[in-house]
Amino acid sequence: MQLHPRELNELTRKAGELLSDTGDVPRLLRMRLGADHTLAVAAEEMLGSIEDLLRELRSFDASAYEDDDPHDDV
Amino acid sequence: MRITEADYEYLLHTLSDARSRATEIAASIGARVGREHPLAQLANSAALNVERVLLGVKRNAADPLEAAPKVFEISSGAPAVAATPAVSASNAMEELPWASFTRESGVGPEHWVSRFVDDLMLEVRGSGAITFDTAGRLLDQHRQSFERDLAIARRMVRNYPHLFSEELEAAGVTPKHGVRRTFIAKA
Repeated sequence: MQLHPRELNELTRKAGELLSDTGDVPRLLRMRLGADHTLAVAAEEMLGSIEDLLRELRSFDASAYEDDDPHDDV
Repeated sequence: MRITEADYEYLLHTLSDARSRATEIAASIGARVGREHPLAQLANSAALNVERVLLGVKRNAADPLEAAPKVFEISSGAPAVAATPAVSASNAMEELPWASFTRESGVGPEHWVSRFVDDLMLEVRGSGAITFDTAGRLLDQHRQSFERDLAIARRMVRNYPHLFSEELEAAGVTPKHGVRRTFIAKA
């Protein structure tokens, strides 16, 4: 297994875009249904979990998961 | 205030797209650091949460009156009856055929044709009519969504064959590259 820094950057970028593109969903559901509606709450949790993922990706130490196995890059 | 048709269109499009991307991110991370790694679990959790909201929006779209009383209780305090039309949504659902489509057709609820029928009937419920143009537009949307998901799935199998070794063996498919065989042997 390996995780190159460039792959980590790419995953971080994708997660950032995902966060950005779904950012309006909780706001819309909250506005339409109210903050206590289960769907609005679920959307807040969804956004929170994407934020958590993005934060962990940004702080992840990819070097600890790099593998020098030459077969992997053949 | 209720969710409008334009809202549903935005939500379903955004969340369907987000589901595909979140699943791809989760699979990529799991393939690299292992599925049990906290980072992979965070990614899986995010993908599941997107899926959960998408299903919730679909259910809400299918039966919007379920949400309506809560809207009035929360936002304005007006009685729930204010949002109740002459025909109850649950009765209307029973009269319409799409609720039983999945069962009668034998295809799963996640199959594209089931989703297409769901959306088609939502359109009927929303506008009271359906046209060839509308049906064609919906079909195009589902075709594009299907092709996007298929491309992602193919890319995942190509890049991370060790995650699909059981499925590939069951299908009698042998990975083409030595590297991939090495991956499978390690797994």
